[in-house]
Amino acid sequence: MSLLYRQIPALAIIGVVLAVTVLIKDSFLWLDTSAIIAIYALLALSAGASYGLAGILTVAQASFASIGAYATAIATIRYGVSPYLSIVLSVALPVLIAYPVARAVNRLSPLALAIATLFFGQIVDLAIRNGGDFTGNYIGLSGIPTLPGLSSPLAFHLACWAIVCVVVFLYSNLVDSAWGRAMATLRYDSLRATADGVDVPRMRSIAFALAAAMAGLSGWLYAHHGAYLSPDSLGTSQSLSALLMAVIGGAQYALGPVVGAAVLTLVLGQLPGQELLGMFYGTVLILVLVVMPRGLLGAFAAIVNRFTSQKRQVRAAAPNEASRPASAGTAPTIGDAALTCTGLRVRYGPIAVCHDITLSIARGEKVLLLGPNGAGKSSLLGAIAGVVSSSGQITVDGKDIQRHSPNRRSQDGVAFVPEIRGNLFPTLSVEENLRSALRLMPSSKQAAAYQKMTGLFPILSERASTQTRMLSGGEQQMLAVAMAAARSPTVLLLDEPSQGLAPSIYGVLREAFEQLTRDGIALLIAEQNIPFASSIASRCLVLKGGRLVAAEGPELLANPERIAALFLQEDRKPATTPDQSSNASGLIQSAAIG
Amino acid sequence: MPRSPLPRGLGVFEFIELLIAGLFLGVTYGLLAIPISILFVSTDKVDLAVGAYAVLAAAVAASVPGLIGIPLGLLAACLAAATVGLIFMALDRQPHQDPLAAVLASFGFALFLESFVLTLYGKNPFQRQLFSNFWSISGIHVSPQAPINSGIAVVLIVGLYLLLYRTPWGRDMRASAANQRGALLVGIPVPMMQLSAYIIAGLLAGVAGILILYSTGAEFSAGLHFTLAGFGAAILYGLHSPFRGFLGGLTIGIVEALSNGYTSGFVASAAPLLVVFLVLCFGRYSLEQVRGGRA
Repeated sequence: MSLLYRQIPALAIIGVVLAVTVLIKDSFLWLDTSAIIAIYALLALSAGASYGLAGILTVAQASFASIGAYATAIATIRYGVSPYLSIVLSVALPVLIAYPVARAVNRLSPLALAIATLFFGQIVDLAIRNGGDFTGNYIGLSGIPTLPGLSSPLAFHLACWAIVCVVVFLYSNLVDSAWGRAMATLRYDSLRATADGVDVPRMRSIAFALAAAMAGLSGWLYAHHGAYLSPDSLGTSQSLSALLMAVIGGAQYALGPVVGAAVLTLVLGQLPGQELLGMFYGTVLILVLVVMPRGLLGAFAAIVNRFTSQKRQVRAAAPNEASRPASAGTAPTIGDAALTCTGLRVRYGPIAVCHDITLSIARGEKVLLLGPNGAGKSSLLGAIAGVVSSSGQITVDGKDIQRHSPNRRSQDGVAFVPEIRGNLFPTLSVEENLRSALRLMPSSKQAAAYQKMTGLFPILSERASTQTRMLSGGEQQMLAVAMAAARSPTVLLLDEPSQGLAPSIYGVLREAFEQLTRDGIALLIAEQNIPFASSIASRCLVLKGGRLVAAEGPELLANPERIAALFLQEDRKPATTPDQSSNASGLIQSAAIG
Repeated sequence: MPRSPLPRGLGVFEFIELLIAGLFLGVTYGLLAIPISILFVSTDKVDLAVGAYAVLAAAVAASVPGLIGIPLGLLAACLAAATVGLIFMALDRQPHQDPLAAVLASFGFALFLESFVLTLYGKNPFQRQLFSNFWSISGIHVSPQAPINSGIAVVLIVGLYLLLYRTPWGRDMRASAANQRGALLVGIPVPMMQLSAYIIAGLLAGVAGILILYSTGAEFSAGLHFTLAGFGAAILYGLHSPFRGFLGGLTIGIVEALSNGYTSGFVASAAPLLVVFLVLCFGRYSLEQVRGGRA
């Protein structure tokens, strides 16, 4: 981000404040409202910085503001300290409290952290209410002096916004610094940040302390604005207001909380009664979270992005999908096939991972899906099972299931064993897992189906009451296959069934697959273990870059050179150099051995 | 936290009285902990509006004369919880959903309910007393409401246990909680299971609210206090187990009663909060456990 671009938020505030000042300079009411907006903007900025920067949803920012406000109030009233000196106390005290608190709780998940801040806020509130004459108990403190030289509403309004500008300027530049980028990494993936050498607990605690400093500054202004302070002045509801302002404006943006503070303060002024405040807050908060999760600025940015990307697309319009030749899968014969896919496409947002997949599998057929990592094998299986969204046609026994939910597809005859036995319920017993898998069958047939599966894998009877997470990998795989096959589906999808298993288990699985196909179940198996795959497949499909590039017989599996050539070929360019081919075949063989 | 009007003193009788009062209080906290745990294990979410459901149930029940108010209060709590369930489902549909958004949304709904109760039912505390006299057992004073509350809690817990561990519906519910994708793949209607988890949560919170109505009473603004007590109870011995959550509730109730009985000022009011905060800071809750890992 360029140096100038980074200053846009602060420059925007200066521009708007100067323009507004010209309009309202003679109105005491509007100058006072403007100062209140600035004070809340600081509080919202602190909540936004904690949430947007450190990933800590804090419900205690008003408590830090309260600490700052009480610090300056007590220092100025009781000890006659100049308000301009007490600002140090108002900022430092929240920082000194926030840092150790954050260190103590930041090993927790974001969820638990949010709750911990709620508890902390309540404890601060109780401490202030029970502080005796020192804090004024429930009554509070009055007679807090105004800021010398800033007693006129115009001067105070300008001073408040000058402080907001400085904070936004510092915050914008901090976010774009190396430190800010490290914070962004840990905000989304703390494990990766740790791997990058970032001291995550320290960084998060510093960010939390910086947010507390902003809140303290807000509290300092609050105390010298109203001359009176009570425990309710900056309590939980103000913490929530600050959060709401940050979320409404867009917590990820430096300007978002300021926009949120302005919008909310102005709208709240129009409410008929205070008792309606909570209903208004709650409704707005939920609507924003559901409809505009990135706030007003996020929605604005999305509109701008859509507009600019449309322009780019018009410029870059080029021949593509429509001109491609037909896919390498077998042409579907919907009436006879157990499973057909026609023009199946899978996308994750803007990224397309499977293009125009067309394939057909007959009953009792064992079809192997081969392809290098990232070819789209798991996505294709997930799309057929309905756990990954897709477009195009999918039929099972001639019935179109594309619009059906995953649980409806399981009724239509699709069963899926995801990678690493992802269909198991780890905390349920083996028997409960099997019974869950049979839930769609008529109860009169469940006992026979249960017997059949335990007959296929006898070890499951011995482990019937054992929690699934306590089974070995091989036993878990047997249970996963048994669960998927229990209802005699039309098609069984298996994603890398040999992954992480001892070779001694391969024979058991091979026999089970034979039995299932004899019963007429069609198997579509994504597998990278070539020796295991070669012993089970009756046909091979090769997926590369999200496209089916070959459909061959099982003899393909005996030809590593050919597999390597298919894996390494460029799209639409089947030729590979001999060196590439031999390297790849070596890789495949070692992967298979591994 | 609001102070309970408990007798003071240093004798054994007073201690036992405080203990019983704590258990009496803890039963309702325990009932509030169960929905928090159930929702956490079945949907991976923390609902901070649970306390507000209890207050809503109490307010609705108090507004209708006689016992007819009780089912109406429970119905209101169930509807409120189901609404939060639908909001959470709408949030889950977003492509890059922030897990904190659900916490924030439930907080928003709690605010909504608080304001709704204030607008409709006013600021006066909601309270009903079935008994005007305390029982005196060997010199120890006990409210007759205490065994009623405890009995209802025990029946609910046993019922919940049977529902979760002895019925196919409970198995489906536990399967959905353990592995949502796996549950969909075996044909379990996971969204419906989750919605029913919210309704059960609302029902339990509603029962807690009714028990509060007939014992200590509650103000429109007590929702946050009840949520904190319930969450504190739920996390004390492990957020993943609804039944441990009930024990946590009894513990928090005893801490609150004893601190109110033997201390004053900040310590008396903040002791339960401090206990939970310290457990969060220094307890055995590793990142995985609180993030949703299920032991």
